[in-house]
Amino acid sequence: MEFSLSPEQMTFKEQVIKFARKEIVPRCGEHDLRGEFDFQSFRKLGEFGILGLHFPEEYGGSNADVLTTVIAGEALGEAGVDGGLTLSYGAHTFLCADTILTFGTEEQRQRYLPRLSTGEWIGCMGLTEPSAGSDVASIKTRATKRGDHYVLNGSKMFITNGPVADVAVVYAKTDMDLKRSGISCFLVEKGTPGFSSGKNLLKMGVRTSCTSELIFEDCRIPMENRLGGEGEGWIMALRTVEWDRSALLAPFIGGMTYVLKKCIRYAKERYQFGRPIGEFEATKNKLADLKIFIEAARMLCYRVAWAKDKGRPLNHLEAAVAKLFVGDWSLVPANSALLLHGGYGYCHEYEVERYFRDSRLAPIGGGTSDIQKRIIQRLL
Amino acid sequence: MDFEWTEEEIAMAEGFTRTLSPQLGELETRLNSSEVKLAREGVLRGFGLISESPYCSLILRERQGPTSLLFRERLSYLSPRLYFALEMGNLLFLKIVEPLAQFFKADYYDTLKNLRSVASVLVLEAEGVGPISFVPNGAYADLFLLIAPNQKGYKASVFDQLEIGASTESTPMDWPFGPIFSHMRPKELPYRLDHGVSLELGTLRKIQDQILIGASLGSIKRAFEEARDFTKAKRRGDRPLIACQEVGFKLAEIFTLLDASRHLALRAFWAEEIAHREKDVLLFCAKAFCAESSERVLSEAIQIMGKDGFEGSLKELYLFSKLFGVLGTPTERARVNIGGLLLGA
Ligand SMILES: Cc1cc2nc3c(=O)[nH]c(=O)nc-3n(C[C@H](O)[C@H](O)[C@H](O)COP(=O)(O)OP(=O)(O)OC[C@H]3O[C@@H](n4cnc5c(N)ncnc54)[C@H](O)[C@@H]3O)c2cc1C
Repeated sequence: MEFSLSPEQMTFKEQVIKFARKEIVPRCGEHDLRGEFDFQSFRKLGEFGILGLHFPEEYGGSNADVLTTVIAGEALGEAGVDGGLTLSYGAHTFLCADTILTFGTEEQRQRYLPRLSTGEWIGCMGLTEPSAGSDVASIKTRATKRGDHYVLNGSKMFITNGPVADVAVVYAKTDMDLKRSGISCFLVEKGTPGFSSGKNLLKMGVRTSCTSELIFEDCRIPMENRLGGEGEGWIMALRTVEWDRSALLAPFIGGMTYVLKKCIRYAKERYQFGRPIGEFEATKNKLADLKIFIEAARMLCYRVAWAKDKGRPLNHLEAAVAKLFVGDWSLVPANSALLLHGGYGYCHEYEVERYFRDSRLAPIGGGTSDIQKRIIQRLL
Repeated sequence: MDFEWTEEEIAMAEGFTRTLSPQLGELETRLNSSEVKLAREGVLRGFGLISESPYCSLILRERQGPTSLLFRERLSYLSPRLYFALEMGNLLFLKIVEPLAQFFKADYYDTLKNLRSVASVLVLEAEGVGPISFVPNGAYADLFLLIAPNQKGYKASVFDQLEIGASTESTPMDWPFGPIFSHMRPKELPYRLDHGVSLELGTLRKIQDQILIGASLGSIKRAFEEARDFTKAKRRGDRPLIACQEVGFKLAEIFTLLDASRHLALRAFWAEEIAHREKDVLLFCAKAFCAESSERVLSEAIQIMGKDGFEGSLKELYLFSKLFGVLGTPTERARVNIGGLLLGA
C-alpha cells in the first residue's frame, strides 16, 4: 500500500489550481447567479489541456493516466471552480469524447477529438429520457435503419451541455423488442435536420452547466455516425459509468477541500462572545465533519482511478461504493460548512451555499444513490 | 500509488488466520470463562499461537504502517477478546516501555515480548488512588504498568501482581468485557511513581487509538459478514432476504462504511509510517470515523438479523463497539482535536 502522488502529479495539481484561480474562479460567481454557461472559461480549460488530458497526443491530448486526470478534476474543485463548470467538463470529456475515443472509428476520432480537446466544440451525452432514468434499458428513443442511414425519433432528458453542444453521443434502440442488447449509440451533430434541444432547465445547483432536453424528430443519421456496433450501446454506457464514478466525483471532493479552507478562515476571523468561533468545540466538530469526509472520499475515488490505470475490467463494486459514499456522506459536511458560516453561509457571497446546492447533484446524477446500493447489493 | 497488498503480505496474513482459526472455538470458551485461571490459560494459549507470526514485530516497529492494520483487522475479527488482551495488554505495555527500557528491569522484557507472560496497563486519570475500570488483563496479568499523574505530569512505573495488589483488588467486569477487562483499585504507590518515567499522555492515547481503529475494522467486517451470510440463507417468501431492498440496501451501506473506514485507516497508518505532516490529524479522523462506523454498522447488522442478531457474537460486539468510541481519544475529543489541528491550535 502506497498512497503518495508522484512529484509530477503534485506539481501538475498545483499548476491546475493556479491556472483555475487566475482564469476561471473569478468568473464563477456571476455565472452561477445568472445561471449561464461560461464559454470563455470552457475554452480556457481546453487551452490549458484539461479537456483532452487523457487522450493520445494525436487527438490533441497529453496521454495522462486516469489518476492524473482525476487529480485535475480534484484540483479544479480545490481551486474554487463551481460544480456547474466541472460538470460540463465531465460530461464533455468523459461521457462524450471518451466514448468516441474508446469506441469510435479512426475517422470519427479524427473528426471529433481534436475539436473536443481544445474546446472548439462542446460535447454532450444523451442517455436519460423523460420516462427512463434509472431504468436505462427501458429507453424509448428509436433508431430505425433505412438504407444507408438511421432515422432517430424520441427525446432525451436532463442532458448536460444539451443547449450548447456541437456533438451529442446519443443512445437509442435499434431493436425495440430487446432490452439492453437492443441499445446502440450514435453521433449527432448540431444542425442535423430533425435534431433540436429544449430550453435550459432552471436548476437548484450546478447552474453554470446548462441542462436540457434533446429532441429527435425523423432525424436522419448517416450510417457512419453509428458509434460501435449495433446492440453495443449498453456496454458502452456501462464503461462510461466508471468515469462517472471517479473523474466526475473528483471535483466534488476538491470542492469540499475548498470549502474546508473557507471554513477554517472564517472560524478564525469571525468573533462571537468575544472570541473566534473556531475556539468553540462545536465549530471544531464541524471542521472534523469536512475533513473526515474529504479524506475517506478521496481514497475511494483514487482507488477507482488506480484500478482503471491497472487495466482492471469494469470495477463496478469499487465504483459504486465511491459514488454512494460521495453522494450520501457529503450531505452532513456540506451542511456543516453552511451552518459554520451562520447567516452569511446562506448568502451567495460566501460561496458555501453554492457548494451546498451543487453537491446535492452527487447522489442523483450518473446513477442515484439507490442505484448504487442496488449494484452493491447484487455484487454482495 | 498502490492499493494492493503484496503477495508476501497476503501470504503472511493468511498463514496467521490459518494458524489461529482451528483453535478459536476452544480459545473462546476459555477467554469467555468466569474463572480467571481459565481465562489466563486462554490468553497464554492464544499468545502462543500469535507468537509464531510476524504480528508482534509489525506492531512493535517504531513506525508501523498499513501492514500492521492488515493483521490487526484479522485478529480483532477472529477474536476481539484475544485482540484486546494482546494489544491493550502486552503490546501497549511494550510500546510504552520500549523507548524507556533503560529505566526498567530488563528480565521480564523478553518473556513479555515472546508472549510467554501477560501484561496490563492501568491509567489513573486523576491524582490519588481510585478505582479504574477497563483494565486489560487486570485479573491475571504478571506485570502492570501504572500510568498516573503527579505534580509534574504523567509517570509510568512497573509493578508486579503483589505490589499492585492485583489478586485482592481486581474483579473481572461484567460480560462481555470480563474477564479480559477488570475493575481495579491499585494500592497506594506514590513512592514508586516518583521514581517512574515521565510520559506524554498523548503518546499513550495515540497507541490506544491505533489499537481501537484495528478493533473497529474487525468488528465492522464481522458484522457485515454475519449479516450478509444470514440474509443469503434466510428466505422471505420465495426469495432470500438479501434480495429485499430494505435489507439489501442496508447491507450496501454497511459495506460502504467498511470500505471507507478501512481506506481512511490505511491512509492514516501510511501517513504514520512515512511521518506525513498530517499524520496526527489523519489518525484522529480514522479513530473517530472507524469507531462511529463500527457502532452504526453493528446496530444496523443486528436490525437486519432481527432477534437472531442478539444470539450470536454480534450482541457482544455491539457493546464492544460502543467501547471503541469511548476508550483512547473519545470520539468527540478526537473531533475537537481534528478541528484544533486544522485551525493550527
Ligand atoms: C443536473 C443533471 C445533469 C444530468 N446530466 C445528464 C447527462 O448529461 N446525460 C444523461 O443521460 N443524463 C443526465 N442526467 C440524468 C441523471 O443521470 C438521472 O437523473 C438519474 O440517473 C436518475 O434518473 P431519474 O431522474 O429519471 O430518476 P428516476 O429513475 O425516476 O428515480 C426517481 C427515484 O426513484 C428511485 N429509484 C428508481 N429506481 C429504483 C430502484 N430500482 N430501486 C430503488 N429506488 C429506485 C431513485 O433512486 C430516485 O430516488 C442528469 C441529471 C441531472 C439532475
